[in-house]
Amino acid sequence: MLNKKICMVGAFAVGKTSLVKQFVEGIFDEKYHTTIGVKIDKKVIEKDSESNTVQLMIWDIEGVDVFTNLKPTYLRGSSGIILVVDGTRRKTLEPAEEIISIIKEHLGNIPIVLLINKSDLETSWQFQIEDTLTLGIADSNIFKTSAKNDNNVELAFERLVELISK
Amino acid sequence: MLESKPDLKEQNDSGGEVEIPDKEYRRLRSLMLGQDYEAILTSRLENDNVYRVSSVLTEAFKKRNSEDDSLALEMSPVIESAIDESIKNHPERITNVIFPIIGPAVRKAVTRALADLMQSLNYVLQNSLSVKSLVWRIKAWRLGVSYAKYLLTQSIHYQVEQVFLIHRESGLLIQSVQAEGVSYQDPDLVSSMLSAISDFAKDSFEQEEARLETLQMGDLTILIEAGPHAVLALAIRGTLHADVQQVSTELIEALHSNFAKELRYFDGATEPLEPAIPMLQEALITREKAKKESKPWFAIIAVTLLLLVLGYYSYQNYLLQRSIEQAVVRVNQEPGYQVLSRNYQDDLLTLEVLRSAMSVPQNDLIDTLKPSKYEIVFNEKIASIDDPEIYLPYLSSKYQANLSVERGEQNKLIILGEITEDNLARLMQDSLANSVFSVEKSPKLIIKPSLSVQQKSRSDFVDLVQSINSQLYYFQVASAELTEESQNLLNQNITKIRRILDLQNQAETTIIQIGVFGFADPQGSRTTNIDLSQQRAKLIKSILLENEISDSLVISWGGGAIDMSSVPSQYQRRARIEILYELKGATSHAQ
Repeated sequence: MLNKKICMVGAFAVGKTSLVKQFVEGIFDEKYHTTIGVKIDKKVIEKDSESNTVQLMIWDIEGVDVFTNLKPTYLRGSSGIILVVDGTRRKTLEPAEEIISIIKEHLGNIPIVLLINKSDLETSWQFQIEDTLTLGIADSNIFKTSAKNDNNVELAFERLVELISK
Repeated sequence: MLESKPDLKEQNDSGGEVEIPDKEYRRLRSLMLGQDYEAILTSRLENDNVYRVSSVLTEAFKKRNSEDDSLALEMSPVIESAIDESIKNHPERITNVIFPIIGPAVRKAVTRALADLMQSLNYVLQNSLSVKSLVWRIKAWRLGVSYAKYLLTQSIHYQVEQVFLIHRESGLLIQSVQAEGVSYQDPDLVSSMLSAISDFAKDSFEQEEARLETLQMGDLTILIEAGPHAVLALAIRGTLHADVQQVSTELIEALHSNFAKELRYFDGATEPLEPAIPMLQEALITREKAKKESKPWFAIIAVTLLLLVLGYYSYQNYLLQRSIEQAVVRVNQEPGYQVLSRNYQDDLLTLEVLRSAMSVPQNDLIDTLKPSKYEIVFNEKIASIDDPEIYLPYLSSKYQANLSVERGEQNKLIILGEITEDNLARLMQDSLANSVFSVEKSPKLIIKPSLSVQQKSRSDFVDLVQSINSQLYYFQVASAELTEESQNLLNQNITKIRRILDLQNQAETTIIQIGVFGFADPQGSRTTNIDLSQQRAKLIKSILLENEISDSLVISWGGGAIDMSSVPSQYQRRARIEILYELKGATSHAQ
C-alpha cells in the first residue's frame, strides 16, 4: 500500500471541508465550520492489488482570504493538490491563482485537480469553466462538484490518485 | 627551463653517421619550427610532468608522511579552506554526513557533564540537613545508591506507550508500534497531526530553523526527535526522563544509519521499512518506580506449606503402597494361596485369590497381616484341581503349559501337558500347586493330585495336631507370666488351632477336647506350686477363649511340681496344650 499526502486548498468557504467529509464519510453537513490551521483525514482507495492500493492523507488546509495566506509549510511533501473554487463566488478565482503560484514555487510541477464546487447551485454561478483557463489546468483535471449532492466528488479524488500514481 | 639535449649525429644516405655541429643544428631547428618551438616544447614537458607526477603522487605522499609531518602542515590550510568552501556551498551534505557521528559524541559529552552535575548535586544535598532528607538518606543508604540518585528515582515512573516513525517532509507515517494494552487514535492521523502541529508552531512563531521537541498533555508527553529524513515521535506516559531522550536520539541515528536509502527516497511505500519495526519496539520501555525489594514471605510460606502437604501425602501413599505390596507378597507366600488381582478403594483392599481347600482359612490369614490403615477382604475361589474353569486355565496361563485333564486309576484326576524346564522349576516351587497335587515329569508333564481332598485334609489335620501337642510354653520364675518366646509361640499356635478346628469336617475328624496342663518347679510349698501351675494353665486357657475357641472344648489342670529333680527348673515351669480328637467311623485319638 502506498501512503500519499494530498492537500485541499482554496479560498475560504468554498467547501473544502465539506468535500473531504463527503469523500471520506459520505456525509454533508449544512452547518458551516471554519477550518483553522489544518484538519487531516484519511481515506484508502482500494485497487486491484494491495501494492496498488493508495492511502490518502488529506490535509484540509484553512481557506485563504485577505487575512490568511496559504502556509507553504503545510504543503511540504504533498504528492498532489486539490484546488477548490466556489462557482457562486467569482472572487474565489483570485486566490486560486495565487495559490497555484505558491504551489509551483514550493512543490514544482505536481498534479493539481481543480474543483468548481457548489454545482447544485449552478444556476447562480458567477463564472464558467472557461473562466478558469488562466489557472493553466488541463480540462481533464477540472470537475464541477457538489459536496451537498455528492456530485463528482469521488471522481475528482480518484482523478488525482490516478495522476499521482503515474 | 629544461631543454632536451640535441642529438649531434645524423645518418647520411649510405647509412653512415655524419657529425653535425651544435650551432648549425640549432639554426636548422629554429628555421623549421620558428617561434612555435618553445611553446610545443613547454606543452610537451608539462603533459609529461602531469603524467609522471600523478603516477607517483600517492607513493610520494606516503613516503613523505612517514618521514616527517611537513606534508600535513602544508596541507592543513588547504583542507580547511576546502571544508569552508564545501560547507558554504552544500551545508546539508555535510550535516547528513556528520549526523551519525556527531550525535554519539555530543551525547557522550552531555552524559559526562550530567555525571559531573550529579556529583555536584550530591555534594550539595549531602550537606543539607532536614528530617526528610535524613530519612531519604537512610533509604538511599539501605538501597546502596547515592542520595542524589535516590531522589531522582523518587520521581521516575514512565512508560513509552507508542513510537511513530514519520516522514519528515510529508508527515506521512512510515511505521509505528505501541505497547500492549494501549489504544490510540489512528496512528496515520496522529502522525500527520503531529507534523501539522510542528508546522503550525514553526509558522506561528516564525522559527524556521527551530523545531518542536516536546508536547505535553496532562501526564502524556510527546517527545519528537528529528533526523534528516524522518522524525521519531514517542508518546510517554509519566515523567520524561533522560533515559528516554537518549534512547530516542540513539534510535533516530540508528534508523538513519541502517535505512539511509529507504528514508531518503521514501515515496509512501512502507513495506521497505518494515524491518525497522523491531528497532522501534525496543524503544517501548517502561520504568517503574523503585520499589523496596523484600522477600516474598507469604509466597514462601504458602509454597512451603504446599510442599509439606504434598510431601506428607506422597509419603503416606508410599507407605500404603508398600503395605499393600507386603500384604500381597505375604498372601502369595502362604501355602495354598495365589493372588490373582488386587483392588484398593476407600480403605478397602480386595484381593482376588485362588486358594486350595486345605489352606489356612482366609480370616486367619487376614489376622496375621494386621494392616492398620485399611481392611482386607478376600474374594476367594477354591482352587479345585478338577475345576476346568478356574484352576486349570490359571495354571496353563501362569506356566505357559498346555494342560488337559484326564481320569486315571481309581478315578483319580491326572493333568497332562508340556512345559519348559524353567517353568517346571517354578511350578515345583508353587506353594498353591504343591498344596494340591504332586508334579511328575515322565516323559510329559504329569500333574497328579497326591491325595484326595479328604486324605489331604486329614493329613494336614494330624500334622497340625501333632505340632500343637508337641509344643511347650515356659513361664517366668514364681509367676503365671509367659516368657517372651513362649508368648510368640502361643500366638502362632493359636492360628494353627483355629485351622485345626476348620479342618475337622474336611478331614472327617472330631475334636473331643483341648486340654491345657500347667506345671511348676519344686521351689516353694506343694500347695503353692499346685496353685501356681493351675494359674499357668488357666492363663493359656483364657488366651484360647479370647481367640474364639469354644469354652466347651477347653479344660485346664494344674499338676504342681511333678518332674524329676534332674530336670532344669526353667523347663519345669511350663504348660502344654493337648488336643484330643477322633476319626469318624473309627475310635482313635492322637496326641
